[in-house]
Amino acid sequence: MKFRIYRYDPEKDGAPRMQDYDVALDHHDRMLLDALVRLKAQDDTLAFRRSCREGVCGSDAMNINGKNGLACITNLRELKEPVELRPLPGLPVIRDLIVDMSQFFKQYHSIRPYLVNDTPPPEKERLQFPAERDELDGLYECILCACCSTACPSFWWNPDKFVGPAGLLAAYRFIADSRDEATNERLDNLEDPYRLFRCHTIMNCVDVCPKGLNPTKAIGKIKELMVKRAV
Amino acid sequence: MSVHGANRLGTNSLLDLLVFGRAAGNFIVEQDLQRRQHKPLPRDAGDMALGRLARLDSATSGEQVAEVADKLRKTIQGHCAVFRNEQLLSEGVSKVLELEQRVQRVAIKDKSRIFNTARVEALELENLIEVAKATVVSAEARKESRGAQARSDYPERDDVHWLKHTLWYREGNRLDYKPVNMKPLSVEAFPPKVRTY
Repeated sequence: MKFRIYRYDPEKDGAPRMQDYDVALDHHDRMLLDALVRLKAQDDTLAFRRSCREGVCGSDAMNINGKNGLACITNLRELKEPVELRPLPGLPVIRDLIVDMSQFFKQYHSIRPYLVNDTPPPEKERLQFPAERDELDGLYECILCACCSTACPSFWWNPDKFVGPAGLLAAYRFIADSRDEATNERLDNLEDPYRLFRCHTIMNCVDVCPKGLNPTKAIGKIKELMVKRAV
Repeated sequence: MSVHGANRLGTNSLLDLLVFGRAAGNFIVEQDLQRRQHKPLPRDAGDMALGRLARLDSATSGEQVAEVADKLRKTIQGHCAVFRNEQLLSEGVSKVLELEQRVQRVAIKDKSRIFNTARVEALELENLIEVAKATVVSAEARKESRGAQARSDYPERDDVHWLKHTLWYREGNRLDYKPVNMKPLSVEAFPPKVRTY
């Protein structure tokens, strides 16, 4: 199978280049990551991140034939050859397919991605009704792979000011949580021309999310809550 | 020493984190370790780690990491899996010891100092072979079935000879044993009994 892969090692390369590879696959190989592991055995200088190899850790997010996704859950047989692999767009490249995710995580941390509740905890746990728990479905499953934020033109333009789809999905995950007491502060934190309102419902995030989540919908809900509290 | 007995079932690692994490935290608070000075480091403290890196940096040819790692996975899967017996295990021991020789000769082409995953994988393989040796040598020596160890040649649990922890020493591939603490400090002991379903 033929591949064209973005290569860049700042110690050696003046500029990034594309390198062609041909790799013999085994009939057991199902996913793009299987082919990458074979490529790595062939050429150990090719650098990419991977860990769980089953779509849970989010390490092997990359741009695959122009679309962001996780190598480990991308079916090899559905890919057009040569398969073109590039690092996630819009973030600084450290080396080959590895990007510096500091900016992404800075935005994520800025929304306080943890439960805020100053009421002393009861003896056992903070209870929820099943219907309240259901509100978190489609929100909590995010694995922070950054496929969505690095597919978003608004995030490419303002990664320092726009929270981005992953961060906003996480923000709504806590706003929607019946046990969280900081809804107002959370909305204040986002009421800003950039932090929330740079989302123009382009929906690239929904298109690429490997977990099938819908950040645009969550962003819509946050905007709705802001309107509701204003009127 | 262990909160799991002879088994550590999948996801129960969380129990270790809670119990030993809490114990470590309490110890740090009680001893007021933050106020204490670190012990002086011996001058050669980093030598072993630097030696490992230097060997990988200078080696120009040798065994391929991916190939040896694959061989190690297949050996452990074949010789030290769920159902075990003497023949499988003793062959497993000699195969792992042969692989250890190959691990000592691995070489990588990537010498970059930036996000060098080839180097990380080579170091991981050196660690894996240690764990593989500990596992297969201990399993071969233990002539009984207990917890996760199911031996078709010794299907019964043998509390008379084997109610003890296995300790493995890297130097000389040596095994030692330690008695199981049957008197917990704050709770009643669970007496060992046959597990029936």
